[in-house]
Amino acid sequence: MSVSQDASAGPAPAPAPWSVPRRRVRAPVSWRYIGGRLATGLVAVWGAVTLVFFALYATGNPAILLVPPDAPPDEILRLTHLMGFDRPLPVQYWNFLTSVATGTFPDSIRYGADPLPIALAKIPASLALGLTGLLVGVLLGGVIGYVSATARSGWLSRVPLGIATGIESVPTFFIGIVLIIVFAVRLGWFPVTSTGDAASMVLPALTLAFAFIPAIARVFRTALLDVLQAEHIRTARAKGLPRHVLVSRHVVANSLGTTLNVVGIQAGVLLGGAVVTESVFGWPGIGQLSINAVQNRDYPLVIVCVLAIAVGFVLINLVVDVVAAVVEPRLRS
Amino acid sequence: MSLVQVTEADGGSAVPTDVGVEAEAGRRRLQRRTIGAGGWVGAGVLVAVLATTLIGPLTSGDPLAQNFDAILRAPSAGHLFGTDELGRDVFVRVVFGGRTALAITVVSAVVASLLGLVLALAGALFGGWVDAVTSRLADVQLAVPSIVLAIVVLSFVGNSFVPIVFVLVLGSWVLTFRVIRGHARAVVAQQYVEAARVAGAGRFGIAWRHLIPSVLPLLAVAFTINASSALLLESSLGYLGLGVQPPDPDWGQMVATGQAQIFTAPWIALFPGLAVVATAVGLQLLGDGLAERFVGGPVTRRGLAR
Repeated sequence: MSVSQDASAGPAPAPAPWSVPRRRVRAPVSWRYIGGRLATGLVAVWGAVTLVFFALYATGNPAILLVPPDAPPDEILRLTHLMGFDRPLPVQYWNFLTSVATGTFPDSIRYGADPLPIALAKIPASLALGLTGLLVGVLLGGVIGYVSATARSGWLSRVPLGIATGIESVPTFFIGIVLIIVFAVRLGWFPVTSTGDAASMVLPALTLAFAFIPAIARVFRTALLDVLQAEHIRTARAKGLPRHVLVSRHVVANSLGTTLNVVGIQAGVLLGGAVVTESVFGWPGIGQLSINAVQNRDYPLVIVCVLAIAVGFVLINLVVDVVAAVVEPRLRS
Repeated sequence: MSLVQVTEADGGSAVPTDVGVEAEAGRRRLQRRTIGAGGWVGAGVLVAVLATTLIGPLTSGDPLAQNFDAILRAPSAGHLFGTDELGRDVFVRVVFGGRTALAITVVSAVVASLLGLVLALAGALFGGWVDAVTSRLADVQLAVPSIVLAIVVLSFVGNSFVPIVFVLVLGSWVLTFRVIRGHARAVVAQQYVEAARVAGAGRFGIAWRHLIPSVLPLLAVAFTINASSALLLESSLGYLGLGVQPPDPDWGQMVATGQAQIFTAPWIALFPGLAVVATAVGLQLLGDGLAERFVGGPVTRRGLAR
């Protein structure tokens, strides 16, 4: 707590002009900040649950959807009563909220088992693909943004960014298809579908990365150009700081916060891209599971998948916010 | 100061009311009455795509006609885009698929633009709680990933025309709302609007005489971007099997079915996808051109770029 108070206190006394600035240990993000973000996230999850509830409610008696098509009538009645679908709307809503909160869902129609463990078992694969794709996307997008902001020649500052902007008009699934045709069918370098080893990760991770390279590149470029015009950069240049130190410590470090913030805003794009990418490559993650569940009309599993994706969305935003606040204290307010 | 020039829209004059550099820049921009080479290329691509999908079905064959003597033929003069595993002509199917995809896209973009426009103008004119509620609504919308919304609505409600349009509209109206709201608030603060109010003009009169003419260029830009994101989302839904259902041809859905033949006949998946890309690039170029011409800077999917 005392540490965070230090961070919110006024600016530190300016060092003597002749001293080289010491590497300052940054105060970690306060628990209060994380708690605030978590509360916002809970509201978002509640919104997703409510959305699912009303979509179910709009179908009439959701219990009919939640049991196998050949279920006996008393099974439908049992579930109708269990989930409270025969009660007044507010009671139904409350029952739905509590059943979600306690993790009680009707059995998956296709697997005939509790859908929660089925969905949870797919999360590591999705996480592996998502994090790899995110890393590749941020690195490639960062390089493009950096090159286009600092290049001295005209074409280097335009062409990579132009290509990135063009990629924005290509739907993720088609990026995957083109990568498959070129690198799997023609060149045969990588497998078409997931086999579980590292080679089968390359094309899906690239596909996912392409989904948000344009946004990262554009924002990083704008942030870099902003920082490059700042007074302290001129000062740093004037005192003869080597270019690589100037760039890494002053320019890039000051541009990271804004860029990370955009990664958070792009979390929805990342999730949508992940669902599509998993479907293109048959990646055994939660995205493919949810699409299969929709196609099999396995509604209990659909509900669990949607909630898992919503929670994932909230967690991505939380992590990005915290990381952004660590590297960029100005974002903490 | 926003990038958008607040211009005097009544009386037909388009003289910037701002003074100084911005006004000078605005005047120069107004003199250069063109959407640039990129804008024209984009417009050309769109006209070509629209003409093909509108006229093509009148001249070419049946998208469902099967011909087992000509299955999986590579693209040639007889079959421009080749044939698929049932001997259906891929070009004809792309043309017909374009009708479905473009109809859904255009309807969604129109509805999304109108929804964004109405909510933004209401917020700007009435202010107070109306503005607060509409802005909060936009925030909530941004907090729900489109894919979650699509899965929930399309699996529980069904995937016919109206639910698909509903999902696409919810996924794209916020852009129009944000862009228009910022501009409309700036216009409402102008003295000529104040003068109109003093002269006894009602809110709807002000909206009709001053706000709507002033936001029209922005609306055009927002429309092209709405259309391009609606098209991308529509084709993705089609690919995932959540959108238009077979046997109706649809670009995204055709890519998904073509993927099974990707080793022997990659053209089945390639050409419908290229059609999506061409249309989306056309929309993007046209939108950029319009933005450069009317707004003075790029407008991104999230709103006005800085």
